[in-house]
Amino acid sequence: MKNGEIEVFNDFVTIGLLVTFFALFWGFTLFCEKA
Amino acid sequence: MGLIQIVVTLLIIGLLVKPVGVYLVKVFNYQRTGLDRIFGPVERFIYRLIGVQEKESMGWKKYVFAVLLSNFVMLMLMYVVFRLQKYLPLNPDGIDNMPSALALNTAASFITNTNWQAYSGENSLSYLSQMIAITFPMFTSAATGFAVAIAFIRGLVARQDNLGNFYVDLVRSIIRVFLPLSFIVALFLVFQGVPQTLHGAADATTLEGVKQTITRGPVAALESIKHIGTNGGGYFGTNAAHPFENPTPLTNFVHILSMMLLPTALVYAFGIMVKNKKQGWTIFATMSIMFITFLAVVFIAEYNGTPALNNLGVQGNMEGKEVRFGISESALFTTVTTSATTGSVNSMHDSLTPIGGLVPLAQMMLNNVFGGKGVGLLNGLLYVILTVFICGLMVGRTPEFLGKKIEAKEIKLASIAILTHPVIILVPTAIALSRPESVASILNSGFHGVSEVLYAFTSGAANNGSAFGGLTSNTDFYNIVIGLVMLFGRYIAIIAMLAIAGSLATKKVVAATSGTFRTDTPLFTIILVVIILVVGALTFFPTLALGPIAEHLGMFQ
Repeated sequence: MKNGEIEVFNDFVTIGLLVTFFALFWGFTLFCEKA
Repeated sequence: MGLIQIVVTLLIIGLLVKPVGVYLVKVFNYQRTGLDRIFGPVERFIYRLIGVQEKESMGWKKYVFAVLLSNFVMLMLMYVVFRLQKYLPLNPDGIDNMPSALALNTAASFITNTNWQAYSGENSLSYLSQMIAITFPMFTSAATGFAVAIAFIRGLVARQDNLGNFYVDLVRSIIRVFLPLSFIVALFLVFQGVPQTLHGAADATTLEGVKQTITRGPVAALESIKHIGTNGGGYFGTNAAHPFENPTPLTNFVHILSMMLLPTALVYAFGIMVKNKKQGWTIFATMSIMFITFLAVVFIAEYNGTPALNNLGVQGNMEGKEVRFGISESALFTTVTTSATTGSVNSMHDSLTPIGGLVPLAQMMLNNVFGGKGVGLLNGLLYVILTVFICGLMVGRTPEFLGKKIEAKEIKLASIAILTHPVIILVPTAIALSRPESVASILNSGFHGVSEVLYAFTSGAANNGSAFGGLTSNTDFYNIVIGLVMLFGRYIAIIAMLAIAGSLATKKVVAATSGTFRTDTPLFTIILVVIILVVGALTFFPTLALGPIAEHLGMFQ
């Protein structure tokens, strides 16, 4: 990866990763409710 | 002289605990103060702007949702700013965009109040990035931690699942606590010589005729909230060791005071809010005992130096330390920054003696010696719940805390939160040490190298952010894994604690009897200290033995 470039694929993967992890945190919230 | 400096600093912090704690209670209990005329209209304007109903209360799940949603939106905005900073304004030095993995790491770092920096601010961030993607989340992440801690305290004394309103708590924290304090501290720092400018880097010619570029920028504004909010991310790569961040012993004192002021005062505020000041002092005493012990260890270790230095006739270890601070102020700063989970440094932790270096590691592993904004108190209360449970088992009674029964659900959630911390430290450390590409990032061989990797993940998991140094962490592997470790370290504990708060809030208060196990006595303080240290040692001693302890023993061969 180089500075200065718009790396659509890398950005897509990174944002996807963050969305997934926040969804996981919400899933953990629901788990806590049931625990 | 060094010892006197430390004692005076701690005494001043101690004197401020009560008045600041009382002020925090007024802020979060929504009590009227003379400052309402100034802050009230600003807050109401913000509520109208973001569509918040001031009187709306939230149950624990709604509170968690508000925390996650607001943090996620800010995280995305920060990521976009880092990735596009080259095309955005306020970039007089023409700084390039951040690579995506580093942008992820940096955004996760600052939204979680960690402030781990795999970059050097002076050549990786534009002024716009420094202001809206670094300094701004320093306010919001600190306020988020504060809000969550306050919500948990409300849950302890509530009669129903009503933890307050996250957005109101967030705004009040920023407007009534962080902004005024930061403004005062920033003015003082400017007075002491810290730069505050939007002009680009200055070009200077040295006496030898060499051209030198001196980077500068809005440093004072960042420095003040960096410590008030226990954030820790420096404007410059060398953090508070840089003469533009921390130019004098007086600024060093203000930095230390700023780091400790709110975490210590919050523990006192806790006692008032649960209507049991003795309970607050019990937890305060527990944290103080551990803090003083760790401070003494690093202080003695650095003053004794190493056998190699002693053989050369050098007394004490000054490697990696600034002469204007000396050993004592460096030792105090090291202890404060890792107990308050700030993460800024005024000396290089990589150059501490092995036992001196063990102290910041151990404090981050325990993660409850005062701790950062709110979250430190939460982690401390997790151990209180665990201790109450263990003591309940020992005496054969249902464990209670502040009149609320601690049952299976609370213990399950507390266990998950406590166990997550070692898992997200030890598993990534093991993976990193088994990958030749990750091992290649280690600059020192042997036991010290193990400490460098262990420190990086411990710092991320504890949301501390300080770097041991000696590790080239700006690689895709370290950026992504440490980024995710920071997110787990922050949100799993927050969610579990708010769930416990929601559960406790709906429980009836049981009247204390002669058979109730008291949690506000000196005996409980001793038991709590022992349980925290035993659980910490059982979890982390093997890895510490492979790092700083083995290195220490190796010095005498």
